[in-house]
Amino acid sequence: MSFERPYEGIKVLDMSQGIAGPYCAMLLAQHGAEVVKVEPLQGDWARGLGLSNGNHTEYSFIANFGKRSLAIDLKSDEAPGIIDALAAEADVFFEGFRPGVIDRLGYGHERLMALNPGLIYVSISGFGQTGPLRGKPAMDPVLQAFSGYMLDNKGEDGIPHRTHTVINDMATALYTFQAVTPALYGKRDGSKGRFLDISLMRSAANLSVIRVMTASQEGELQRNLRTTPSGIFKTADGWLQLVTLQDKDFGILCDLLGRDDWKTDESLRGNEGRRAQADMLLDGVAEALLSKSAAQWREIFTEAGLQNEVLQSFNEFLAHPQVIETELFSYIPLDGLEQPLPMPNPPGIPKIDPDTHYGVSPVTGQHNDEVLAQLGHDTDFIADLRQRGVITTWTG
Amino acid sequence: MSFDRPYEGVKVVDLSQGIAGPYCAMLLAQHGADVVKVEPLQGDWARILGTPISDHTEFSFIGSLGKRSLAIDLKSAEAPAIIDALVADADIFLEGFRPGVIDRLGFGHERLMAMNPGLIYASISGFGQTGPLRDKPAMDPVLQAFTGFMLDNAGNDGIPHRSNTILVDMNTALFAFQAIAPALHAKRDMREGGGRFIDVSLMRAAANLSGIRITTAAHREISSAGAPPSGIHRTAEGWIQLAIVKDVDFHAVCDLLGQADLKSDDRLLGLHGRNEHAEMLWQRFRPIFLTKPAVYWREMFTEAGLQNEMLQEFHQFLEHPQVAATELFSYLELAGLEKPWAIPNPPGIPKIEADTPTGTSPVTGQHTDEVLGQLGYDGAAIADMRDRGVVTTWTR
Repeated sequence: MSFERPYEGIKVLDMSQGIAGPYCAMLLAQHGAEVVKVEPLQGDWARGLGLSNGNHTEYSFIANFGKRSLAIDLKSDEAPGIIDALAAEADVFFEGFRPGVIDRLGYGHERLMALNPGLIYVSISGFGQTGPLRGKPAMDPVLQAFSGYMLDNKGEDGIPHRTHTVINDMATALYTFQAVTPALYGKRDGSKGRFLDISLMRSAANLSVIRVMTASQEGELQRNLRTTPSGIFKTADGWLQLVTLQDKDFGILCDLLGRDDWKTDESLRGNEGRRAQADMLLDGVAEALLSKSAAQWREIFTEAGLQNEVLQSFNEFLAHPQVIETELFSYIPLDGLEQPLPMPNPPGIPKIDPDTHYGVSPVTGQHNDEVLAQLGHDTDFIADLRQRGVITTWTG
Repeated sequence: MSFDRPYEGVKVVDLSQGIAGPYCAMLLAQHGADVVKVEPLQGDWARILGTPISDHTEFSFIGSLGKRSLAIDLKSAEAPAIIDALVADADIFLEGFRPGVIDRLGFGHERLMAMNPGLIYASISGFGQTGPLRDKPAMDPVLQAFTGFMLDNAGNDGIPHRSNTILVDMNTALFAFQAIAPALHAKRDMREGGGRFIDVSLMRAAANLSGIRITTAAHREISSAGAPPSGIHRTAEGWIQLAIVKDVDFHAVCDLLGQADLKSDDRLLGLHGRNEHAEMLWQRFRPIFLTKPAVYWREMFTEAGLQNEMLQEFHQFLEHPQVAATELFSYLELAGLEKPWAIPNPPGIPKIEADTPTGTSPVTGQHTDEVLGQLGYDGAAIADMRDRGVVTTWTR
């Protein structure tokens, strides 16, 4: 344990793939835990998700910082001895196979927790370990659709669509973290291990808790026009978000847009009145905002005290002085790319440094020899495994 | 400490309002921490955000679950002594005022951590405690716009829009938890001290949430469309989403939809290949989906082992058998509500039960007397403060 990395000394065996499990284990690694990532010979499937650069994609790169990779054929004769040895001294175990699969592989929670009663055993799945849909495979977009999120994420044209940010994977990683860390805390007082059943479905429900609570009262959710005219408007060169909260704001907006007719119209007093004529108002604002650039409107509205924001692209965001001054990103080189990749630094973790192991995202099997040697296997044994294709290391 | 609630015995003073800070402290409370929510006399501003029911809205209800509320005028002569007494034996302190405000109120981290060197002091703000935008007030939608998320969340019509789920607030809460839990872990190894100051911003959380998209955008053009036939399809009735990654799955879809000729086209191999020819593929597939209802397609794709999902509304999600089987929701009554609120149970926390402390969300100042009593104030002193409007309790 160290002050900067409180989880130093904590051992994690991570057999999960994709994002949800790996990202959670990555955060544990950043906080000091020693994380061994166990991958199949062809690597975590996240290594093939998106565009590949060498042995990485954006997905596998982000989710594996600070880990050591052991690539091993789980169906080989040697695997059980090796995995058991790792599990025997682990504090946390992650797996993200479809429910039932890990038992068939021989590493179900009952057996491993009998072997190591202090083990915090985490199973991550789409729909949970029980229920009629337990066997159903599901990645992030499936849960966006299933949970109600996607129908709530309609465009102006009324067509629902997916959020490209993998919100359910990320939420699952973070909700897993909030389940594992108190368990680790309790373990220090001698509480035994536990089995944590984590699903993307549960995380999705928690992520959208406010909308779900409202829906539990109102049924189908209506277009949100609580404050009108508010929304996202096209300008001469980009998009601007504008919020009109109350009559005072509406009056200011009327002045700025030269709409005396709106200002003097009694029927447009109060949000209720404006809601009744929302389309007319929104169309009017939309037309007016086309006349100037987003930056010009921002200056005008900010000066007048109206809440507004220019919509930035990810790259504009990366270049913003606020982002640079707060050292929001570390830049980490990846073989095959000319420019280093920006890695957001999570709060409460020392800045990710590419010259330390915390800033290295391993290729498949990068630490085979190291991990096996620590378990007491000699180089002959390791070379033999490699020759017979039981373990492998990606070489490009 | 208990097995079920490892943070029993941990003391939290929560001066934050809204959702990001409060939701984080709520999770700590669910894990057993004793959380005193310190509110202004008129209550946390989340109590007017959303649909008001008694002294609650969806926001304040979920954000305060399991806490005790002390409503006090922070500018009163008595406040400093009361807050200091709470802080003196607290483990965690949360505040979410605009940077600088908490110092003016007299509860800045330097003073409080000097008084209690073991204090984990978390400040939650829109843009962080430093940088040119530190003073800018910012709620969830502002950060959705600022960080690139909103432009990336464009509809099929190309118009960007806000995600109604308050993704940035929720992730700020979870990333704050992610920073606090290891700090708490470290503190236990220290005889004295062990406190730290944690600067959590909505901006940092949003950057981490969209880390994969941002990393991608930094080195190549990001397309907002998935590679067809992945995507959301309008059907004869409702919407269906299909997720196709592997070539073998693409070929299965081609067979199922009578487009077998596409299988021999090598240009369509891999996500990249299908993206390159997206328009042609859309023209082929879109009309086919319109011929049958979503349930029909779901059955067909599920049978074939392909990842798909019918889009559900939130209220349909609530009624799904998988949700019931996994006890995903607890239902909590509140005076003034026609039906109980559906509250999702986070993973790794005992089920939220009505009529228990962790299943109760306090009204403003509900525990004013209890908290002050614990600090040694007698009935007369409390009554006097109440008379003079220093403390209060909400009454209908």
